Amino acid sequence: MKPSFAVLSEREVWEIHCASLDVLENVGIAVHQERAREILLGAGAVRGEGTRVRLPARLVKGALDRCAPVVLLYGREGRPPMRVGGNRVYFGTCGYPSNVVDWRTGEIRPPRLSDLEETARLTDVLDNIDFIMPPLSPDDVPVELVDRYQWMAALLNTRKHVLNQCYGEEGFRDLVAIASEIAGGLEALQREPFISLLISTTSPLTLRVDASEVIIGGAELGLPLFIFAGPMAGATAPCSLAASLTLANAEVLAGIVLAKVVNESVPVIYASWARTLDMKYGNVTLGAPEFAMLRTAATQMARFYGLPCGGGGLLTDAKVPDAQAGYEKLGTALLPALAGMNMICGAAAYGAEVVLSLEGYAIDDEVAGWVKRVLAGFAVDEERLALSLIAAQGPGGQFIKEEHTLRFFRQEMWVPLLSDREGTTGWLARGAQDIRARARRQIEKKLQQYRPLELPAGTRERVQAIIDRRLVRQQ
Amino acid sequence: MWNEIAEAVILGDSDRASRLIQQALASGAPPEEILEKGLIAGMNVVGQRFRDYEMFLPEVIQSAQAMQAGLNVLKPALAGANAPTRGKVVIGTVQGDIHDIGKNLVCVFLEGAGFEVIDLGVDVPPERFVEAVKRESPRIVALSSLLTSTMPAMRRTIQALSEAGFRDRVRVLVGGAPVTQAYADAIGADGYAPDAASGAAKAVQLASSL
Repeated sequence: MKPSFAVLSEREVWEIHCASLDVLENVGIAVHQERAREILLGAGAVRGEGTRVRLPARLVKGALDRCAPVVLLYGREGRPPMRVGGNRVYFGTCGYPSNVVDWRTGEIRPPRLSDLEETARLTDVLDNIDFIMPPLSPDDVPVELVDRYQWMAALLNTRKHVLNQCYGEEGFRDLVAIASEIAGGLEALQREPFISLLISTTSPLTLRVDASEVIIGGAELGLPLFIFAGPMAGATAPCSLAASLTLANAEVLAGIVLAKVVNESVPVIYASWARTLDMKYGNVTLGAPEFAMLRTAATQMARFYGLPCGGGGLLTDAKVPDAQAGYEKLGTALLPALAGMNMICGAAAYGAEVVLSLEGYAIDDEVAGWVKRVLAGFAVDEERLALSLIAAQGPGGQFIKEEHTLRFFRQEMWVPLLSDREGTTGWLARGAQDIRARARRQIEKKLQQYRPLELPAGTRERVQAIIDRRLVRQQ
Repeated sequence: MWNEIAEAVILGDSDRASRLIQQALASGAPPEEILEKGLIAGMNVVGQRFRDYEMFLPEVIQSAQAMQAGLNVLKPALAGANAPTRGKVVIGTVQGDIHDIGKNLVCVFLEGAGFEVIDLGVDVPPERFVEAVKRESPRIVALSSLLTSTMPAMRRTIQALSEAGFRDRVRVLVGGAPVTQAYADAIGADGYAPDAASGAAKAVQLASSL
């Protein structure tokens, strides 16, 4: 068997589902954009007070019926696509820390565009990192165009799939222009979308104008939508995890309904950042045991609906890669992974997504490898029971020289890149380095393996020109 | 009697705090003493327990509400007695920013510290801060921002207060995740605090410097 984990019984999944439909039908969701409201009302939603729209159960069910259980997220230059769905687990980064730990100096400082470009290059070469959500908001570009620079930095520096936000309608139009330029036309982009759109609801129970703009725009073009809700239990949701989960579920379903009414074949991914508020500091916590349980529960909901899913995981509240980071990151990655969360977003992020550390990137690549090994489980069959070998060696036997060992050790035993398993004497003799020092060496090595993308001459300039045109218009 | 009022505040029991203060006033206790030895003494214990991880935000909010309920009963008597109060704070999340959890917590702590809080909400343009200062004559203007992209609106708000000629009448306090003391200094704020509880302490200090 393959290991698995759950926090909700089937009965409880059903209860959360019913409660969510109850909320959507009888409380409704505030939809701030008039066009989105009209689209929903035209599809059978019921007008509520003000901007509120109530979604009857049949409308929600109709949308869910039109969802595919697997969504293909493409990379470029011959990378096989991520087949998001089933029990597959992929790891990536998450957005949008406003601090970076300079791995060369150890200094914590505001991020620059060059940091983001370096992160994208590192994403390209790390084996266990499958996609990138541009994990920084650089402070050396105009603030209202940060999303465009994030897209540009990622798309020009990594072959892996890029998941990112758009600043509303205009941001979305610019992205389509940039990505089409890189793909060699809009049709090529639509055929193998190497981008997907991150869309956030606003808890509790609100779809802002910009969210509706990107859902509608993305759905019209058939680009994959990664729709998430991130209510904070105790602040923007009741403090009970069941209620928080219900709100998050209802909000994501509302987003999916809008997308599917616009275009029933648009690929959607069910995502969740439902989390809790720390009652001492009033900050969100992303390393808490509740975070891992909420991710697991949201994954169970997505699977109940037959949807591919993702969300925050591999996360921590610790500011640096220390012991707290180690246990929080493993816990928030392993448990949702065991539940089958397909896209785990959090690599290299620290301090509840406020700090990015590239040395953490190498460490998280290692954690992802650890988790993937557990997910693979181990086989129990005749060859692996190895009874004839046990009999042949008998009491006092040795196995290191055996053919059986040579044949199976790479499958049975995960080989770490960074973890310290050396004898104490050797470790001391080699300068008693901790994982951060080893991670820095690993980053240097990995960055040397990087080779630039094969882009037609002038691509970079044409992409920059798209951004510059917007800048001119804004001025 | 003071202990009982303080205890009602600590337990966050608004009804009991109001009732005890009515009784205290009826028995002729001086309102300033009810404020100092009852309500504020209670909130001081709450503040200490919060710092010691013995009480948490929902409990502190409950206590602040009990303090406010008591203060409402006390106010008419205090006004008559011409007692010194901490004064008003005009607070809001600056233009372009819709985050209010942190700002709301600051409001709780400010009320707990005895300020009258005028909360302008979120996405507040500079001119609305100016209007509120004109209307309310606060001692403190408190600005909140969660996004690096909206921090410049803090600077613009302070400039607007200067241009309207109100800058010298108020103390400006800034806070929010990306804000630092260095940034506060750079934009000409009077104070910065890293969290809600120290924000209230800073406000007390700034108000008394006016």
